[in-house]
Amino acid sequence: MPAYATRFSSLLRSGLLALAASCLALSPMAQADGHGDWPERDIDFIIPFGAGGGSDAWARTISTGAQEHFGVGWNLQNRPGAGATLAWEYLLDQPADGYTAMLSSPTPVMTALMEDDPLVDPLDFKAAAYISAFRSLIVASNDSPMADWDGLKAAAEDSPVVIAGTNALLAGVANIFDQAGLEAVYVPYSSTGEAVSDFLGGHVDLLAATASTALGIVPERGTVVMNTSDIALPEDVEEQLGGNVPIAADFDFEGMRFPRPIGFHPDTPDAVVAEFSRRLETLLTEDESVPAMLDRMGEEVIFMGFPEANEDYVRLVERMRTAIELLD
Amino acid sequence: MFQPDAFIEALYLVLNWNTLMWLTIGVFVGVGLGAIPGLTTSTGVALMLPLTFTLDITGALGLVIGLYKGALFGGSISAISFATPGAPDSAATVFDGYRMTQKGQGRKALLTSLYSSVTADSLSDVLVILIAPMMALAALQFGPAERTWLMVVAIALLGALSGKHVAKGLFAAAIGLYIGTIGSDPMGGASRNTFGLAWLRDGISLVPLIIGLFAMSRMLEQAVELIHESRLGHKVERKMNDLFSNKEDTLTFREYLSNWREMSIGLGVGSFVGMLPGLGATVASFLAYGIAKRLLPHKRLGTGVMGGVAAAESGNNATAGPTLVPLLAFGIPGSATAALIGGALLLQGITPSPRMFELHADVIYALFTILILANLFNLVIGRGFAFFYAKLGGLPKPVLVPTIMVLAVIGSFATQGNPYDVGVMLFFGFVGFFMRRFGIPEAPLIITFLIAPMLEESMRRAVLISGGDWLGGLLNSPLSLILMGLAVLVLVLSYRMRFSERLEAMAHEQDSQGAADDDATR
Repeated sequence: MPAYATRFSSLLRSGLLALAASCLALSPMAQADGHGDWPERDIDFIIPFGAGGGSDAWARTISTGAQEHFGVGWNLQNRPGAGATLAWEYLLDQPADGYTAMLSSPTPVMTALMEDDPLVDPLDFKAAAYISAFRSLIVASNDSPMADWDGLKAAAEDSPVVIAGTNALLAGVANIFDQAGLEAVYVPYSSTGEAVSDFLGGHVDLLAATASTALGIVPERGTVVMNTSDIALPEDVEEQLGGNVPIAADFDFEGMRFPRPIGFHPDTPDAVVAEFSRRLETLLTEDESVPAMLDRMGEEVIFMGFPEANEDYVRLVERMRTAIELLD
Repeated sequence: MFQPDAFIEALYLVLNWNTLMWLTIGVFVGVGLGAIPGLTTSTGVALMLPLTFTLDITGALGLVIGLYKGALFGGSISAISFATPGAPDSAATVFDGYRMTQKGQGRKALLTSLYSSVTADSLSDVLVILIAPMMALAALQFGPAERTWLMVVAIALLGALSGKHVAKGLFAAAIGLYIGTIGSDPMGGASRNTFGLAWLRDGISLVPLIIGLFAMSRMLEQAVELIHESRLGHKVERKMNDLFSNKEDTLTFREYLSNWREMSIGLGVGSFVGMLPGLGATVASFLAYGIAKRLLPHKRLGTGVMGGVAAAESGNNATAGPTLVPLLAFGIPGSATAALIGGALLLQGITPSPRMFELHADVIYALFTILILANLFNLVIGRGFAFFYAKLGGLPKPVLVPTIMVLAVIGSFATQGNPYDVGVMLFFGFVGFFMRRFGIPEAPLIITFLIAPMLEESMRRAVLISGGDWLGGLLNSPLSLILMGLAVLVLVLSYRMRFSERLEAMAHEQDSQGAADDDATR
C-alpha cells in the first residue's frame, strides 16, 4: 500500500474515532438538553373518560392544533373505567419516553384517594401543565340568612348547615369550612341537576356549584356567598353573578382550585415534559383557532406550565386528601 | 307572557331552508344512529356537537333536537327487528315488539312504535310549551324523601312485570338488586361487591346488560333451535323470498286509535318522569309498560301485541320535551341530553336560565317550533327507516342470528369503548339464556337494577339531611306522606288483584276439570 494511502487510512481512522468519541461525549448532553428530536412520532393522548364528555371535548378541540404546534399528531384514546383510573394504570404501563400523555381531572385523583386499595398512587403523575380549572362556589337562596359569609358563619356555628353538590365541589367547600372551624353536612350527588333541583326546592341549605351552574340560578333565585378557589372569576362572569363575588383569600382562607392537568409517566425526563408544556402554552394562548373554539364552548383556558403545575399538583393531592377526609 | 313579535321572529328564523335542512339531517342521522345498538341518544348528540360551532342558533338547535328525537325513536327499530335495543330507552319495547316481528308483524310493530312515539312526543311538547314553568315548580317539590317514595311506588307498580310466578319474579329482582350495588358506593365513593376487580368499580353498564339480557340471550336460544332444525336450506330460501315481497301487515288508523289508552299512560308517565332530574327515559318506558300491563289486563301485553309497543314507546318519547323543562326554567339540565342541548345554546352565547325568556324570547319560541317540527320530520323519515328495517328483521334465522350476535358485540363495545363491556354483555347473554329456559322474567332484573341505586341514593340523602333521623328524613312533607300512602295502596291493590286472578284461574281450572269428568263419565 502506498505511503499516502496508509496515511489517509490512519487519518480516516483517527477522524472516525474522534467523531465517535465526540458523539458519545455529547449524547448525554443532548439528552439533558431536552431531547432535541422530541417529538419524532405521534403522541398517544389518553382520555380517562368515554367519548362525549367534557374532557373528551377538551382533548378533541386542542388536538386540532397538535400538528401545527408539535409537528406530529395526537392519537386520542378514550380509556374509561375504574373511576377514571384504568387509563392512569395504562399510562404507568407505558414507557416514560414522552409519547404517552393523559388528560386528567379531579375525578381520577379523588378515586385514587377514596379507595382503600387504589390501582394507582395519586402522586404517580408528572403534570406538564394545567390547561384549565374550575372553582367551587357556595350558593345560598336570596332570602336565606346565609346569603353572606357572616350570616352563613353564624348559622353554621349554631348548627351544621346542609350543603349539596358533587364530590369535587363539596371538597372545595369542605376545605374552607375546615379552615373556618365550621361544621357541615355534605350531601354528595352524582349529577349536578339533582343537586340544583334539591337546592331550589329548599331541601338543602346551600349548593356547591361551578360558575356555569351558578349562572342559571343567580341572581333570580340565589346569591354567591363565596368563590372557594384561589382564582378570581372572569370579569364578565362575575358581573353576571351580581359583581363583587367574595373569594376565599378575602377572608384569609387558602382557596382550592380543581385543575384539568395534562401529564406523563412520573419517570419522563423533565426536559421532554417542559418542551411539551412550552408547545402546549403556545397552542392554547397564541394560536388563533383553538382558544376561539374553546371560548365558544364556554370553556376557559387557565394555563399553568411546567414545573409550576407539577409542584402545585403535589400540593393539590394533599389538599384533596384532607378535604375527602372531611367529607366522610 | 306571550310575545307575538318574538314568535314571528322565531318563525322567520326556523322556516328557512338552512334550518329545515339541518333538522332533516339531524332526524335522519338520529334515527340511523339510534338504530345502531350502543350508540345512545347522548352519544349521538355529543358527537354532533362540534358541528354546531359552525352553525347559526336555529341550525344548531335543529340539528341537535332532530338528532335527539330521531335517536329516541331509532332505538326501537332494532329493538323490534332484532330484539337488540338501540338504546336502553327501548328495552321495554322488545317484550312485544320482537314477538310481533317473530309473528311476521314487524312492519306493524314499527309503525305502532313510530306513531305512538310521535303522538306522545308532540303532546308532551305542547304540555311543555303551555305549562313549562308550572311543571318545573312541581318538580322542585320532589326532594330526596319524595323521590324515595316515588321509587317505592314505581317498584310496586312494576310488580306486574314479574309474570305469573311471583317467586321467579322476586328471584330476578334480587339478581338485579345485587348487580345494581356493584361499583362505587353512591355516597362514600368506596368500591363494593367488585370482587377486587378494578374495572367493576364503575359498576355494570346498562347498555351491555340490556343487550346481553335481551338480544344475546334470545340469539343463543335461536341458535340452539337452529341446530335442531332440519331442512334449513329450504327455510332460508323461502324466507329470502318473503323478504322482497310486500305481504307484511301494515297499521290501519283504527288500529292506531285502539292504542289510545296505552299512549295516554305513556304520555302521562313520560311527561312526569321527564321533568324530574335523574330518572330518564328508560325508567319512564318500563313504568309506562308496567302500568299499562296492570291497568289493561285484557290487552294481554307481553304476548306480542301493539299495545305493549305503544305504551313503552310513548313512555320514553314523552320524556323528550319535559326533560328540557328544568333547563329552560332554571338552567338545570335534567338529563345528559338536556345538558348537551344546553351546551349547544351556550356555544351560541345563550346561557340557559330563567332570563332566557326575557333576553332571548325569539330563541325560546324557535326552540319550541323546532321541537314540534322535529316530530313531523321524524314521522316521515322514521317511516322510511321502519320499512327498511322491517325487511331486515324478516331475514332468515341463519343470517339474522350471527348478524345480531356481531351487532351485540359491537354495540356493547361502542358505548364507552370499554372491552370489559363485551365480557359483561356475553355473561348476561348466558344469564338471560338460562333465565328464559327456566321461565324467569328479565323485566324485574332490569327494573331493580335501574331503580334500586336511585332509591338507595335518595334514601341515604334524605336520612343524611335529617341528621340520621329515618322517620323525620323520609316523612318530612305532606307530599312524601301522600306518596307513601300511594305505595301502600298500590301494593294492597296488586295483592288483591293477584288474589282474584288466582281465584279466577282456580275456578276456571275446576270448570275444565268438571267438564273433563263429565266427558269421561259420558
